[in-house]
Amino acid sequence: MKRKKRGWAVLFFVLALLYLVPVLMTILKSFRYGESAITLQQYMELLITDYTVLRYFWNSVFYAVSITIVCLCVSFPLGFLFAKVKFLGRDALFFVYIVVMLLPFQATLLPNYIGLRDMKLLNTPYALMLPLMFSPLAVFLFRQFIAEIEDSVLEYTMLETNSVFRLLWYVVFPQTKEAFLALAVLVFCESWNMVEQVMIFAAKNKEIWPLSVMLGQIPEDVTYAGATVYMYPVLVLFLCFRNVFSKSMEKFKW
Amino acid sequence: MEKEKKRVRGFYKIWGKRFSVIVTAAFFLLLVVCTLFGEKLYTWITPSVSALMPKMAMYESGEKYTQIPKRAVTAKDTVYVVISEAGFSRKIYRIKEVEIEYRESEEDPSGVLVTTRLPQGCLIVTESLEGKCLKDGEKVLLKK
Repeated sequence: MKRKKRGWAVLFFVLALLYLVPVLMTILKSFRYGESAITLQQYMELLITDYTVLRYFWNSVFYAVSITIVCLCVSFPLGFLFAKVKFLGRDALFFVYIVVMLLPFQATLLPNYIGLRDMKLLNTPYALMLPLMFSPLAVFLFRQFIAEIEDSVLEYTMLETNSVFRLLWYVVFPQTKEAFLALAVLVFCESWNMVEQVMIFAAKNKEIWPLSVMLGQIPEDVTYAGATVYMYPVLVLFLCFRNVFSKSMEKFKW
Repeated sequence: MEKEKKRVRGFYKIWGKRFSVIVTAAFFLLLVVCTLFGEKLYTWITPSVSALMPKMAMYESGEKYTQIPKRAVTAKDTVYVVISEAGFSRKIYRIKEVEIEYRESEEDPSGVLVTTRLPQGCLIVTESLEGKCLKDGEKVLLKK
C-alpha cells in the first residue's frame, strides 16, 4: 500500500515539475545577460533604459484591479438573487447564464463589438473593462456558494431588519469570504491575461494596451525579465491565497 | 529530537515567509521607483557625450572621404562613433571604436581626412573620452 502511494506521489511530482520548470527557467534566465552568469542587466535594460514598458504593466494592473472589484460587486448580489430569491423565470434566466458562460469568447465577440461601437467606446479603456466586468462565471460560482447557506438563518435576519444590504453584508458576505477570495484570484488572472479583447476592441490605441499584448514587442535580450515582471502579480496573488483558493474549490459543488 | 525537528521547521517556515514578503515588497517598490524616476535614473547612470555628423566629400577622381575633427582622433588612431538603434520606446545610442585610415593629403586645419567607411548614420564623438571609461557597445546619451 505504501509503495502504491509512493508511486502516485512520484508521478504527481513529475507532473508538477512539468508545469513548474518553464516558470523556474524563465526566472533563472532573467538573471543572465550575454555571457554573464548572474547579473541584473536584463532588469536594468527593461526597467530603466526602456522603462516605458512599465506603463503597460500599470495599465494591466489598472484593468485587472478595476475589473475584479466591479465584477465581484456586481456578481455577488446577482448570485444571491439566483440562489435565494424566488421570482418568475429565475431558473430559465439562470439557464441562459450557464449557456452564456459555456460559450467561447468568439461567439460573443461580434455582439460585444457592435455594442461597444454603438456606445462609441471602441479604442477606450472601457472597451477592455466592460465585457469582463459582467462575468456569468462569477454569478454562477456565487450562486452555488450562497445556495449552501441555510434559509432559516436568512429568515431570522429578515425578522431583525428589512434591509437586503444589511442581510448581504452582515450574514451572507462573512460566510462567502472564501468564495470572494477565490473568485478575486480567478477574475484577476483572467483579466490580467486578456489578449483577444485588446486586439479587437482597442486595436488602434496602443497607449491603453496592457502588458499581455506588449510582451511580444519587448526586445529579445530582455524577454525573460519582461516575462518575470509579467508573472509577478499573478504569482504573488496565488502564493498569498493558495490555501483559501484550494479550500474553496474543495467546498464548491458543481 | 522531535522537538528539535519541529523547532527547525518552524524557523524555516517563519523566516521563509518573511523572506518572501520582503522580496515581494522590494520588487514592487522597484517597479514603482522605476515608473516614477526611470528617466532620471537613466540620465544619471548613462554617460553623455558630444557628437556631430561627419562631413562627407568626394574628390574629382571620384574618391570618397570623411572629414573628422582633429580632437575626435585618439592617440591610437581610432575614433569613437555613436550608433543609434531602436529600443522598445526610445532610440538607444551606443558607442563604437573605429580604426581610421588617413588619406594622404595636404594639412587641413579643420580636421583630418579619412578613407575609412564609417557605419551609416553614425555620429562622431567630438570630445576626449580619456577620463570616461567607455567600452565598445556601451550606451551613451547625446549632449544637447
